[in-house]
Amino acid sequence: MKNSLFKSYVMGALVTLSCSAVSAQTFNDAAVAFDSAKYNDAADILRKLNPQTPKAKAFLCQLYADKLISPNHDESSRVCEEAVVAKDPVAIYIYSIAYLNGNPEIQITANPTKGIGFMAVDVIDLDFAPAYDFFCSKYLRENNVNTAINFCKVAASKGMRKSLYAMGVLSSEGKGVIQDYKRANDLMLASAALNYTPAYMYLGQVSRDGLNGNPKDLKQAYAWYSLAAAADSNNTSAAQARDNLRLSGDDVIAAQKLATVWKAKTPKLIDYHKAN
Amino acid sequence: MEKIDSQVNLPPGQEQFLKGISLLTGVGAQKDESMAAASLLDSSDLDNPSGLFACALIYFCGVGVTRNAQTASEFAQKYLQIDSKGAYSKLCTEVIDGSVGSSNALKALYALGPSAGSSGSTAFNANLYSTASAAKNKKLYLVGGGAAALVVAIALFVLVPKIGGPLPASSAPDAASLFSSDEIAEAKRKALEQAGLVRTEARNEAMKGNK
Repeated sequence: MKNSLFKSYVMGALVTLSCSAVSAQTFNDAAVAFDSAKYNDAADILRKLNPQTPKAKAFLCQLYADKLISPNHDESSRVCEEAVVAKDPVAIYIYSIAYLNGNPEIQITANPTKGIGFMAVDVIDLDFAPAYDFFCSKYLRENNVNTAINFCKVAASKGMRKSLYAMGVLSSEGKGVIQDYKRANDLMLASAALNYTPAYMYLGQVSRDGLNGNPKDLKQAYAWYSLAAAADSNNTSAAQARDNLRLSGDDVIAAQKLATVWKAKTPKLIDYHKAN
Repeated sequence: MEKIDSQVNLPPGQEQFLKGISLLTGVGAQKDESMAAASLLDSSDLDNPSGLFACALIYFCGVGVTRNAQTASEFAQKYLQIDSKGAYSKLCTEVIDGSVGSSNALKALYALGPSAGSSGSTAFNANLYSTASAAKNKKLYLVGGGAAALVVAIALFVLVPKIGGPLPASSAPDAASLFSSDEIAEAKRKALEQAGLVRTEARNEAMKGNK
């Protein structure tokens, strides 16, 4: 009798412990699972969070929208809508992109006007950096530099690497802003520090050809092109530009060291799910 | 480089170590933590004990590299494998268990200059900055410093014009600092105006659609 009571006590304690272990999983655990490409595990953790915050719902919405987990239209529609209603900036951004292109995973058919409207909400109500970044690119594509530049400046100041690059190009060419090579260089370096391939390519070209008042420096060019090739393995032009420099063995090693040191300093990109 | 090694009879990796310390402290070279880290890593590649210890410290403190206690621990472990009773073994143990503390690690790193020439033969103790210790290592420091100055001179006058300067990694500016607050305030005001227009247009379109 005593034995069975002890057994049931131990079992009870084990169940309690295991339950508390499950409930102890946090949003960050989901982010860690996501970073390890364990998307189903991330989704399970997000589903079990209690309370399920708008941020968690937005994260789950993204997993569905990006086809990282098997479709479940009921759940995907629910979590996305609830996160959007709660004005989660990531969810609104996902909705915006979904309306711009259409996304059957979260049951949204294309409606570009609505998509742009959602993106505007992300700027006006939530001051969301990727939304400024979006408008920067959109207006630049439409050759509307005067409108684009305001979005580009805000997005760049918030550390959006694409906008930093865009501002670098505009400063270098003197479009929408006063031509300023020093500033262009700084903007490109800030973008490259966020591991942005076009910024590496630009800096490579500047070093190779001695542009913007900089002296030619083939070893630096080699280092920038190497970083570009490493940042985007599909970028064959970077590897080609690097190899076309035809440096000597010693110079290549010196250039590779420059690239390695730079890479060690490259910070991680902002993860808007993890940001508070 | 071989000539330099033979002249002062430096152990493998010591030349790179001295160069690294020179770049780190700014003594005999322009201070550059990134290049210092690169030289110290070169030294550690040659299993130089001082280089390994210095790498453990730079990773522990995040000097010239991204702070990484795990990597620091790996360098410290390698040091202990090579020279378990060496001058820096106690500090390496403390790096591994994390008890050294960033402040002490930083002090130890910058104190490496005077005691570095010992290559692990001088006991490294808490009295790191004592005059006795400095005097004990003075001769070796002078030899090491001379070698470092020679290496730096060669680097400055022969190699740098050929190799080119380092990528401006440490000077990559912070994005926010590239814009004045007035410039951003003005840009934001105009961006919000435009976004407001876009939102109104979207709402009007939606209302038309509903009708």
